[in-house]
Formats: sequence, C-alpha cells, structure tokens
Amino acid sequence: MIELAHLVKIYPGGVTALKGLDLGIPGGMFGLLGPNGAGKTTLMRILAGVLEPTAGRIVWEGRDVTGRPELVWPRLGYLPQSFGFYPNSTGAQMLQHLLRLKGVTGPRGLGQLCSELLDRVNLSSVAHRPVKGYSGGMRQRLGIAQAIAGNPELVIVDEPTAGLDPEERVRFHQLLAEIAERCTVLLSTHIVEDVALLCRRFAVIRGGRVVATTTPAEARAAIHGTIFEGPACSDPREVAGHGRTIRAVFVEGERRVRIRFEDGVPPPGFRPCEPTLEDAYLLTIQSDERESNAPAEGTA
Amino acid sequence: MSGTRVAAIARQELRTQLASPAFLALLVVIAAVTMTLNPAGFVRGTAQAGPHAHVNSVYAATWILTLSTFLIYPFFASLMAGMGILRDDEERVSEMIHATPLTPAEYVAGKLAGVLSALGIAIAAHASLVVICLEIVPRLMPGPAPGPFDAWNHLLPLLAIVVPNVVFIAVVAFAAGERTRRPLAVHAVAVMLFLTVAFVFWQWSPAWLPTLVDHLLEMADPSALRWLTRDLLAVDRGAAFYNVAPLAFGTTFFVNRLIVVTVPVVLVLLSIRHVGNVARGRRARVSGDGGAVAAGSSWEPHFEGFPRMEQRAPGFGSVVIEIARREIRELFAQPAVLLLIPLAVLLVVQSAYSTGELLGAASIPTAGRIAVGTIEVLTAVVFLLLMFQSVESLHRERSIGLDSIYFSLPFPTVSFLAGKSLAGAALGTVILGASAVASWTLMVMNGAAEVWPLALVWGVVLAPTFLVWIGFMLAVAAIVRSRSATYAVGLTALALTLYGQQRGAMTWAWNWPLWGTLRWSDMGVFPLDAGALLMNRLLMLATAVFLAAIAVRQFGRVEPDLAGASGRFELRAIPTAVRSLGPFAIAPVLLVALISWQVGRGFQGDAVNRANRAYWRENVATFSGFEVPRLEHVSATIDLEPKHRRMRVAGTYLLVNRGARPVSRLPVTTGFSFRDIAWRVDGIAARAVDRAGLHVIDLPAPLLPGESMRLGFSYRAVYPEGYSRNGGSLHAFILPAGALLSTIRGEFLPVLGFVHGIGIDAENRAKPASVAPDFWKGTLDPLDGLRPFDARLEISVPAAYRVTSVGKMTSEMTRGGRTTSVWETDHPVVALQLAAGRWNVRRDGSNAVYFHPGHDENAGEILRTLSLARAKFSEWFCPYPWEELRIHEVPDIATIATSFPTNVSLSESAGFLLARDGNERAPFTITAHEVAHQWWGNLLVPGEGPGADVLTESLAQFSALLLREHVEGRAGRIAFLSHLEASYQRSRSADAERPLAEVIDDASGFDATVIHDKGPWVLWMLDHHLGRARMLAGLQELLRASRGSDDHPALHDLIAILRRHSEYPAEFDSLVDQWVFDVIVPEFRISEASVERVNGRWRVSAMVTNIGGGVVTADVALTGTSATQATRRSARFVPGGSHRMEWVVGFAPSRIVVDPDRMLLQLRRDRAAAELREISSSFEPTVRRDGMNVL
Repeated sequence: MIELAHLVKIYPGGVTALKGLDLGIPGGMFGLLGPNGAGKTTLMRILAGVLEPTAGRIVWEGRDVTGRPELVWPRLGYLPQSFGFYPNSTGAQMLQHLLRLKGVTGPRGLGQLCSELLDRVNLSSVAHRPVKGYSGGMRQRLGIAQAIAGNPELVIVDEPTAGLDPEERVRFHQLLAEIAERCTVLLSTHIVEDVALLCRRFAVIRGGRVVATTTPAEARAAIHGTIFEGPACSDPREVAGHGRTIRAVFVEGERRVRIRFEDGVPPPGFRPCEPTLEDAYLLTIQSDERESNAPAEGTA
Repeated sequence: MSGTRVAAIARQELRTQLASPAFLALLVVIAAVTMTLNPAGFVRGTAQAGPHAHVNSVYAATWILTLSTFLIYPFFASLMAGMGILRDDEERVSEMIHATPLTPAEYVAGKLAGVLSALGIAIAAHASLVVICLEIVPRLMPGPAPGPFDAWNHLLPLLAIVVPNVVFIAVVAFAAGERTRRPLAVHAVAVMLFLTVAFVFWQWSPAWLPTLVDHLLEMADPSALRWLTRDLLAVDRGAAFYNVAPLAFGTTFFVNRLIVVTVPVVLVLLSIRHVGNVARGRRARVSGDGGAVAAGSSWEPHFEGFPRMEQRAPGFGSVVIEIARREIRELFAQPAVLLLIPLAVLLVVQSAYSTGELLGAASIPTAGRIAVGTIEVLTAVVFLLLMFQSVESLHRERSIGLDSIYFSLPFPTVSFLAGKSLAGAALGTVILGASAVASWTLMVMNGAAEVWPLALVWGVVLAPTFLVWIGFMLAVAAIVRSRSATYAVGLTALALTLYGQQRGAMTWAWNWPLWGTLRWSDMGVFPLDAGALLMNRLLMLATAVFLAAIAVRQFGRVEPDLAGASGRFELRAIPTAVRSLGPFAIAPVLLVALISWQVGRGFQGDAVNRANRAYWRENVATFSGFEVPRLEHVSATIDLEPKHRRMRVAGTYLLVNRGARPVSRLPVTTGFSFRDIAWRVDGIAARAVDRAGLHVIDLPAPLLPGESMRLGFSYRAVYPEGYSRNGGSLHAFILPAGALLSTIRGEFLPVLGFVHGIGIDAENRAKPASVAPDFWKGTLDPLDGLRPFDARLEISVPAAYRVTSVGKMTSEMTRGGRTTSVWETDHPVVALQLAAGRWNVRRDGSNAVYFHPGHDENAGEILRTLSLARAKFSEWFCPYPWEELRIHEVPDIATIATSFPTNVSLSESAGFLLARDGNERAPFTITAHEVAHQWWGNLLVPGEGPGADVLTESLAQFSALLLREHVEGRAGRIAFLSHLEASYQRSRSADAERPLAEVIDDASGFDATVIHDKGPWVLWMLDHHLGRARMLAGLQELLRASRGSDDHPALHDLIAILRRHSEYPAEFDSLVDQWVFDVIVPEFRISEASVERVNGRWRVSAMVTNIGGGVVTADVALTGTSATQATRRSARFVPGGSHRMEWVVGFAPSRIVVDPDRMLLQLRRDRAAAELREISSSFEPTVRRDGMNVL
C-alpha cells in the first residue's frame, strides 16, 4: 500500500500541479484517470523519485520514502510517458545496459534473460537492429521490458497506450494485466477504456486533486438507470430539461447525445441505456468543474 | 525563397540565442578580454622623449580587435552556431519544421541569419567597448593622450578581420553540426580552430620552414594573426609610424581574406543540400513506414509467466564499467573525435620538436624533454576535449529523453559520474598514448628512445591535473545545470588560469595544470622541485575528490523543487552542505597552507624578497661606494652534501688596503641562507653587526694604507631553501643532481662590501648614471668590482660526484665515502666557481668536457670546439694564460652558459642537448662564445660605464663568428649573421633602442638584442672595413693595454684603438658615428624591375631604395640560375634615397638581391630581393615587362 498525503508540487513560475493530493494506492492494478493537465505525470514522476515534491509525504508499506528515492528505485519499474533510447544501440544492447544498471540477472546470464524478455514483448526478431529504426509500439514494448525486469514491486506506467493502434493497445492491456498479478501497477491514463478494462480501483484526478476514488463497477452502479440516449437537436439543454448532458456521440454517423436524468424520466425520443465508465468519469469531472470556482491550474 | 519564412526562423533563432547563457557569457568575456588587453602591446618600448603610441591608431585597433577575436569567438561562436540545428533535433521540432513549406535553403538561411544576428549584436558590443577603451577612457584618465578620433581606424579592422573571422567560425561550426548532428563535432571545430591558430598559424615558424609554406600558412590562417604578427608587425616601426601610417595590406592578406570569405559560402551551399537530403529522408519515413524495422506486427504476449530473474543492488564497479563502456563506444564512433586525436598528436609532436630553442636550434628531443616541453599543448588539447566530452556526456540522457528511465534505476549517483568520467579519462589516455607512440617513434628514428619519462610526466604527474579538471567540470555541470553555462564557466576557468600564469600570479599552491612550471633534467628527476611537485599533485588529488563530492551531492538526478529551494537554501542547505562537504575540504585546505608556507620561505618567496629589500634599504645610503680593502688571496674549505642541499664553509681572505685612507670597519655581504656565521680577524674572533645581510666588522685596529689582514669566516647553509614559487629557474644550487656555486653574488663565499643589485625591483630601480662624454678617458673601476686574485679551494663531496673549479686540481683523495680535491689558481682570476656532478669526462690535452653519461651526443663536438677555440683565440687575441680549460654540464634548472676562468658551465639545453643539424651549429657557436669569454670578461674586465657589455658579450659573439667563418667559410658566417639579424629584427624597439655606446645590460628591456645581436654585427662591419689583420691587431692592443692596469677599458677605448688601425679614418668615423654612437638601420626595397633582351644579351634594370635609415654603401647583385652567373654593383644610399641599377649580362637573370654577402645589417632582408625567374621562362626579346617583382 502506498499512501500519499497532502502532496504539493509547485513549478517555477507558480504553476501548481498538485494541490495537497491525498491518495491510497492498493496492490494490483490501480488507475489514475484525469484530463490533460490534471497532474498525473507530475504525480508519476514524484512517485518514481525523479521529481522532488514541494510538500507532502509518500509512505510505502509504512515507511516514509519522501525525499529518499534511493529506497524506491530498487523496487521500481518505470515507463514514463515519453522517453528515448540511445539511437545507435540495438534493442538487445539497450536492454542489457539498463538491466546491468538495475542489477538484474537471470539464472542463465544476462544475455539469455534479455533474450527472454525481448521474446516476451516480441522484439526478438529486431533485437539486433538499432533502436532508431523502431516504431512507436516497439519502443513502448522495449520500455515495458526494462520496466518489468527484476520483479519490481511497483510498476509505474504513464500513458502507455497513447499513440498505439487498437491491436497494440489490446496486447499492452494483456501484458499489463499479467504484470499486475505480481505487483502494484500504477497506470496513468486519460483513456477511460483502459481503466475500465484493467483496473480494479482507480482515482480521478483533476486540477492537482483527487476528485474521486472508486471501482469501475461502483462508478457505473452509481448512475445506473439514469442514463438515456437520444437524437441530438439544436439545443441540447432544451432537450435535457432538468437533466444533464454528458456528451455527444455518433452512432453509425448519426449524432446523438447521452443525457443523465436523475429522476429516471427521459424526454420523448430518448431511451434508457447502460451507463459506461466514461459516463461516470465525465459526470465526475463536470460535477467537480461546477463545484470548483478556481480555474484548473495544473499541468502535466 | 520566402523572406517571411526566413525571417520567422531567424527571429526564433535570435530569440533563443539572446536568451541563452552562452550569449551572456560571451558578453562578459568580451568585456573582460577587451579591458585586459593592452592596445599598444604591439609597440616594443617607448622613447623617453619621443611620441607615445596612440592607443586609437588603426594599428592599435587592428591589434586589439584581431587578438581579442581569436581569444573570444572560436568557442562561443561555434557553440552558438553549431548547436542551432542540433537543438531543433533535441527538442523534436525538426520534423514538424520540415513538414511545412519551408525549404532547406530558407531553413539554413534563417538559422544562420538568427545566429549571425546574435553574433552581430555581440560584435557591435565588442566594437563599442573597444571604442570606449581606446577613445573615451584615455581622454578621461591621466596619461598619454590618444590621437584624433577616426572612425575608419575601428571600422577597417572590424570589417576586414572581425566580421569575416566570426562568420567563418560560425559557419564552419554550423556546417559541422548540421552534417554530423553531434555536439562533439561542433566542439571539435572550436578546438581545432583554436589550437591550430594558437600553436601553428600564429607564431610557428621554425628556421627550416620554407618561405612558400610560410606564405601558405599565412593565406590559410583563419585568424589573420600570422599576417598581423609575422608580416605587418614583424619589424617594430615605432610610435610615430603607427600613429599615422595606414595599414599595409598585401597580396597574401587579400588571398587570406578571400579564403575566409569563400569557405563559408561553400559550406552554406553544402549544408543546404544536406538539410534537403535529410528532410526528404524524414518525410519519406513519416509518410511510409520510414525505414522503421517491421517486427512484431502480430505479436501476442506470452502467458507462460515471466522469465526467472533476480535483482540485486548494482555494484559500484560494475555500473562504472558499464556506463564507461557505453560512453566510450559512443565517443569513438564519432568521426570528429577520431579527427581530433591525430590533430592533437600532430600538435604535440610539433611542440616537442620546437621546445628549448636556442640560437635557432631546438633541443635534442629526449623523452623527458618532450614530456615536459609539451605539457601546455597537451593539457590544452585534453582539457578542451574533456570539457566537451564531460558536459555532453552528462547531458546525453536528457537530450535523447532517456533520463526519466535512467535516473529511476537503482545505481548510485557516484558510480554514474565515475563511469562518465572514466570515459573521459579513456579519451585523454588515447590522446596521451597516441602522442607517446608518435613521440617514441620519432625518438627511435633519432636513435634513442626511453619510455619512462613519458609515462612519468604524462601519466603519473599529469593524472591528478586531468582528474581535478574532470571533477571541476562535473561539479560545475551539477551546480549550474546548463550546458552552455557550464561551457562558459569552464572556458572562463581556463582563461583565468592562463591569465594568472601570464601575470605571474601562480604558485605551486594554485598551478593545477602545471603550465610553465616543470623543468626536465636528464641529470635528475625534477631536481629542484620534486618535493613541491609531489605536494602539488597530492593537493590536486585531494581537490579532485572534493570536487567529485560536490558533483555527487549537487548532481540533478532528481529534478529539484526550485519553488521551495530559496528558503531551504538559506536556512538548511548551507549547514548541510558544509557538514557533508566539509570533510572533503580539509585535505585541500591543509595542503594549500603547507605549500604556501614552503613557497613563502623559498628562494623566490616573500621572505627572501623582504630580506633583499631590507638589505638595500638599510645599507645603500651608508655602504654603497664604501671603499674596502682589495682581495688578494682566497683560501677556503667547502664540504658539500648534495643530498641534503647543504654545505659547510670555512676560509680566509687575505686583504690589502690599496686605498689612501685607513679602513676601520669592514662590510661583508653574505648569502641569506648562511647560518652560524663566525668571523675572525687575523686569527682572533671578531664581532660583526648584521645589517640585514651585510655584516659590518669593526676591525681591532684600522687597516692602514698598504697593510694587509686576514679575514676568517665559517658558516653552514642550505641552498636553496623551501620551494620555488612556480617552478622557477636557479643559477646556483646544491642538489642531488649536481651543484653550481659562484662568488658573483656570494653564493658560497662572502662578498666584500655592498652588492649593487640586491633588493632592486621596479619600485626602487634607478636610472643608469649619466656620464660625461669623455668619461672613458679617466681611470675606470672594473665592472662589478672584478679584480684579480689568487685562490686555493679544498672541496669535499660524496665519492659519487666529481668536482670542477677554477684553476687546476693539485690533489685529490677519496676517504670514508667522500672525495676531497684541492684547486689552485695558476694565474690570477677575477671570480671563483665550483661545480659538482655525476659526470663522465673526455679530455683533449689540458682541455676537458664533463658531461652527463646519459647523453653524450654533443660532448665530442663541444670538446673539439673548445680546443679549436682556445687555440685560435690564443692566436688571434693573446695566449691563454691558464693551463687548463674545462666545460661542464649542469642540470637544466636554468638555461645557462657562463664562463669563469678555466671553468665554463653549459646547462643541458644550452649546449649538451642542442640539436647540431641545420645551419645554426648551436653547440659549436655557444661553446665558442663561452670560450671567448675567457678573454672578453675574464682576462679583459671592462670598466664600469655604458657600453661595457659590448666588450664582453658582443666581442664574445664576434669571436664565435670569426671561428665559424674559420671553420665553415663564407656560408657559416652568413648563416650566423643571418640568425643575429633575424633575432635583432624580432627584438629591437624602434623607439627605445639605444646606441651601442650607451647600452647597459638589463637596464632596458631592449639592450640585450643590441648587445648580443647588433653588437657582433657592428664589429663584423668594422672588421670588414679594417681588414682582419688590422682588426685583430686592434683587439690585441686593447688586451695588452688593459691587463694588469687599474684603468679598465670602455667601448670608446676600443673604438679609439681601432681608428688608429684604420686606413680610412673618415670612413671609419662615419661608420662608428652611425652604428656605435647612433641608431640607424637601413632597409631596402626593389621596384620597377625590368628585363630586356637585346642582341642575345639581357639588359636588367631596377630601382633600389633605402626606405630605412643611415648613409650606407650596399652591393646589389644580379644572379643567374647557376652559381657562377652573378654580377654586382655598389651604391651609396642615403635615407629614402634610390638608385637605378642597370646591368647588361650574357646570362639569363633570375634574381636581384641587395647585400648578398651580409656586409650590412638591415631590416626585412627578405624584401630586399626580387625574383626574376618567371621572365626567363617565357622570354620574348625586346618586350619590356615592368613592375614584375614588387614583393
């Protein structure tokens, strides 16, 4: 269990990325969901020990590791949002280099372990090609290979599926799910579907604060029976009446809107539908936006 | 090309450049350099009553702007221009930029326009500052007024030199960065430009360098410094000339500027093409699969579980090796680095073979001399490469975006920094190793090769220097966290070190790169400074550890929280930093204190300086000119212990009062290191008052005129004490490598009376005494009080040493591990000297050479010259009165050649290790010169007064010239006179030069060249006028008249004697009036040369003009292609006067040359000749060609 208490991060120039964030991260896959600029990457980097917080505490299994990243690094696997490799190194050379620096070895030697890890992420065939020729997905796979090496207790993955094609995303989901069986995986993303598919629990973060902590099922259950979908008109507010428009969607090229009516009575032409996690997420964000008078200041 | 798009790129680039720390640092460096340089530094000396050099003349502005441009811009302009495209790559905007309609030409033009605009602002600031310093400040400050303001004086060098040079540097660096996309390539351009200009283009011009190569170097020099120093300012013209004369540009300069302008244009075109190629390649990759390897397109994660693996804390050593291995691989994959290594080796080899030049000859390149002589160039190369490697290496992970992953790995920060440093060390090792291999190969080709001195100096001795530099760069990079700011600090540190070195501010406590410090001797490893060197190296190691600790503590592996830093910095960070770093600072601080104390008590330290000043202050008023009894006989026992630098001395002086008045007290000067001094007068202990080193003994009874007394003395001494200040030289010493002591300044025996010269510095130096024109007609006291006496010295040394002293050895005995020898004079001497060393001896009758067994290359040549010189000088001047004559070798603690009666000292680089090849025959010449001093300085001691040194140094040099002519004939004479003429031309001051009859060595910075170079030339011209027999008769008469006389001769006496021997007194008077009593130097130019072929013969005509001074007669020769084809005419030239010379000859003319036989000292002899070769190859009869040879 990782507990974050009153975490604050202020960048030079006064930009506040985290505003006293409190969060408990249990074992298994934990999602961190939030819009761009919510402070997710800042939080990831602080947890990874590469960014110093302005204030607050990080307690990992009862031990305060704030300002002591050397206690975190040996137990950590980290895949940042954007990263590069030595362009002229091959994938195998790069992975071996990082594993040596990580102190990771295998029973049959480091070379064999690297081969197995590369095979695990299906990079064996290009293991001896320079990294500069790798596609985005291949780089992500090489990145995850180094992150999972050494059986880390905490794996931080920051937007790992951004920019990947649907197939690649699915494969990444499978890989992350498998990793999560062995350790804590903190998945930061703004793609709700990733959380819906992978995380048992997640937190919604916005403006440097945790807006909600829940499970996908609870989130969906909370709005069950109040979500309706119907054709879009010129003024969605007129259609909605006392309800709240969640979002516009396209169904087979037709523009439709999803609306929440808390009393369960929809306007004409609207039919009840199953709530999604995305509905719940957007409602949470909209709700917080209304409650908050201050404009969002965070950046990631 | 769209101007809008170019402007957009240029604006962005300019904004970026102006906001970068490098630009700010550039402005700071411009201010520092401009205000530090002396704008009148190119003028050698100022006349006391003549015009002062205007600091705002076009020459001054050109000098300061050209020099400062070279010092400032190579690194900054390279950094700013070369990183422009790399920055776009690192910030990952290149692809976006090239996906727009922007063309490669627009991109390159915009980038260059931006960076050149930034540099233009810097140049404008630079020029403004120069104008303020040269035009405004002098008008506000007391001192010489500047000349009238003329904007062209500043604009001309700005437009002709500064702007093209800066553009050249910027474009070359830009092209290197664009082509390679690697920062190190950009830095390599800067390093190569700076080093090749500093060590090759600027000044490198050995005597053997062909003229064509010299011109090619001048044309290729991107700094224009070679043109400035070796062409425009090769001869000092004086303030009056520089104040008004326009700059004299020549063809070479215009070719040089053309190259400097053309190269950037070509590089810009190449860059545009390459940018286009790269951009097209990128677009192709973006649109297709971009060459990305296609793999795993249908991969599925395996679910058989993770591979078995374990993680341990990574070990320090394994991480260091891993990081170093990766860095080294990255480093040596770069062509720029592979280019720099041979360049570095070439510079080291070039430097190795130019060290220790004397009389135009370099030292024989032994391993130790190469190792020590190349420290400056070697460290400069390695420092620059290490700086760029360290910073780029630390920055690499960030620049490629690997930092987040990398710095969250569990390796210790110290191992990361150590790994990066190890890669830098590997680079340095490769350069050192390659230089060592190249040097060793050349040494083998020269017949000898030792490796251990290279390993000792470049390895053991320099390793702490490189470590401290790496540590410094790491610490700076960790603290400032900016690539360009780190470079700015690093370059500033190097500049400050150089500045401190130039200003003499360095000591063993601060001289971390050992610049100008070490002196190598084959006779002992760092004989003078081994202890100081050891402590200095320990200090550097301790400092390196301290800096490394700072780097580890401050390194930004974790991005710090700057928002909260300021409060914590003041309240908590400082005590924490002190606590964590304090222990690392203890050792450096203690070592600095210890070394400073040893320097302070050393022979160049403040204690000695204070004591010297006190000696002068307390005694000059009372005892300057105090008449003391004459020394008639010396008897002394000297025990030397070289291992401990110690000696014990006991002895007796026999003194006779030759004056007219009784002497009641006796002042005696002792060495400052003498301890436990005891005096006895006629065998009875006497008391003396110590007046700051001058011991004043009250005699029991006045010593009446004609009476004699015996002054006994005993003391012990350590010489030298403490450390030198910064590896200084020493002319007297007792060291394990050998001992050298003389009586000139009381180094081992007391000196009677007050010694002039001790305690004199810039503050209390008096002008030379003004003397009446006929001062020489009275009785003159001997120079430095050198009067003849007899001596008997009993010298004891450890048995491993040999001793040589004045006179002849009358007995020698070895007992108890010590050898005691007795030396007695067989003819009176004017000074004593003793030397000890572990020598081998070669004898030729009563002549002998004592030399170090490790290098006997020149021993035979020196002995042959010694014997020949003794024989010929005895024949030409007068018989040699002593039985023996010896030359001994002394360690190269100082480059010295001194001649005491029967005993000549030559240091290693002043003879025994001078190259014998080439025209200079340096060992021969130096030996002949020093042997000649047996006559000119020992037998003949000139009288006190101006011109005295001409009778010693000029005559000794003239004697060497006669001996070379005797051995080598006309060619040898011409070679030696050419060397003297070149040396005079290089060193003379047009305004401050004094006539030969007025020079006093050391009284002015410019008398030395008059005495040593012009003096022998003038004596040669007198010899030519008189004829050899009459010249020698005159010299013999001078010697006869002076020996045994109390009246010591002046230069005027020599002139008077020679005049009596002249057949043409009027011509003689004209000669000496101009060359001895006045300062004139002719300088010739040939113009309007033409050739006509008439009836199978050639009619040649040329105008010869003396643009220099003096009324002189000169031969002008016309030569053909063979040695026998020559004819000459003679003409008398007045200042500014011309003569049209015409010949009709039957051979094809090839050259006109003024004074082919070196009969007339002149300036720019290279321009007093005209080549006619091209005419002869395309001859057309009756076709006249004018002006074809104006050089």
